[in-house]
Amino acid sequence: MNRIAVVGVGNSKFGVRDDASMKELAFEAIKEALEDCGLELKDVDAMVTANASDEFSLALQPSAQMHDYIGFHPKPNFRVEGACASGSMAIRTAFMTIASGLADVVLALGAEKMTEVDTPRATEIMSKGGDPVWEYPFGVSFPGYYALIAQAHMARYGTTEEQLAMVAVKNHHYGAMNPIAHLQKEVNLETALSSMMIAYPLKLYDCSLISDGAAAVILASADRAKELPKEPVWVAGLGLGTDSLSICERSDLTSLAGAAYAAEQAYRMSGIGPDEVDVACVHDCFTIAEIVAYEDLGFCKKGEGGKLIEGRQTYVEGRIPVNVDGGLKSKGHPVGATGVSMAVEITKQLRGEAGPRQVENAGIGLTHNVGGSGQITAVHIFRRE
Amino acid sequence: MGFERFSLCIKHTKIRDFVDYLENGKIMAKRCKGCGAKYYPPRADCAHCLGSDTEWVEIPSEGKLLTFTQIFVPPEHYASIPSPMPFSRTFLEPTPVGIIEVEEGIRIMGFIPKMDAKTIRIGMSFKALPEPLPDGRITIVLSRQEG
Repeated sequence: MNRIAVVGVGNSKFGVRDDASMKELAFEAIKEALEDCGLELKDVDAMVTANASDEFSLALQPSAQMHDYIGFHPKPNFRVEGACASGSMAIRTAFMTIASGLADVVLALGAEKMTEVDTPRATEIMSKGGDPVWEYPFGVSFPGYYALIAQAHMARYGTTEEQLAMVAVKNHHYGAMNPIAHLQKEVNLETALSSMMIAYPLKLYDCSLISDGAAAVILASADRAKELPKEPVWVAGLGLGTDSLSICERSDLTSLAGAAYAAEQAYRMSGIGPDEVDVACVHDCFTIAEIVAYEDLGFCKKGEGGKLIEGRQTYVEGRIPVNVDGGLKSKGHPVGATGVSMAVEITKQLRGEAGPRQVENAGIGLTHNVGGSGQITAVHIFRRE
Repeated sequence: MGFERFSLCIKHTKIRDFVDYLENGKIMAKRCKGCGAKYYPPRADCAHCLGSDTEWVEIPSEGKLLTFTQIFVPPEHYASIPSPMPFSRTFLEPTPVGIIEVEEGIRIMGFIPKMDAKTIRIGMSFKALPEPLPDGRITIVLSRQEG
């Protein structure tokens, strides 16, 4: 199979973007991605748009708003959805479109405008990420699902609330250095531990943010990629796994089976092992999710995720730097944009463009993007030559 | 009202009898007559053999708590309405929710009324019981058992 590369990346500022609509945020990201690789829109053959929820977008076909606003018609664009992993579905679909020979240059876009609705409504929409019959009537919110996972992990492995808070401290540390991050501020352990209880034992600082934002990645065939000025970042491995809709049907609540499956696929396709990954963006929708991700990705042994953060091994200077862009926790989590934004960060890291957050000489990067409470997980591996 | 008495949202399903059983004090699972696979949450069709000849079976109701939480910021459908009285505030004391395992592979989610998350421990024994609510809905509660 011919190789496929990321050639251009763009990211709108994440945050409460009450100055812009969703399509205007998409425009910011797309324009930056085109400028990044020196292409014009006429050079792009097709587009794939990730958007998680009609209920946030207040539209039946939100993707049309975006191709219309950049004047992409009559070329192809359609929407893909995988809840909070929607962004990675756009990248996967763009990859498949090029691999099939249907196109040479494809734009993968992700966008979400979550603050168009109020917080109780946003909490309601996100709660529907679980089982609408067997969990919804018990009022399980999105933090609630991960609280159930956290409790099980803490009971089995002795993971502590302090270790959860340490993930927040790290991610805010890097978010404070990231100009596109939603909440650019440092948080100390005491503040995180004493913050308001959201879903026992998860507190405010264990939770990611309700954000607006868009991210865009341009993928190209090897022939086209080599013509462009910047060094290509190659898509080396793609993995996709799923799990039961209802959390009650899972035999193990301390791991996301779909994530482990996706990681295995991506490692096999790329011929790269977890020890070779230089930098990763993982789905820290909640602090416990980052700890579970360390384990599902093989960055540490099962049950040792808490110790990995406690030993500061996931900081830039550690063994495996994770979420040094601030993660969903501090950079923000505009649901449909998140997976694409992870690829933006990994591309910048592999090109050496990450500024004060740069992981020295990073050659291999990984993204881990989870939808819902683990119903779908994408793991993508990228490498510089 | 039909199935939405329990689900709060979905009205139409092939397993709507689940609610009638709840009404009669029973929490039921479905078993595939073809391959014997047992399902809770119940399903009308078998995901193992793709058979659709399934029967209702009663499941044990007692089991150990696998996990639990107490949701202080609930979704809109359970969020407290701000008081119309000036300068006052509405306070919600949420009911914890948990999952018990009643036999291998059969896990039941329910509310844990009258308990606080800080006093609940994983591994405690609970009994799952249907509980009619004053507004006509019906739900499942987990009642603490000694031992």
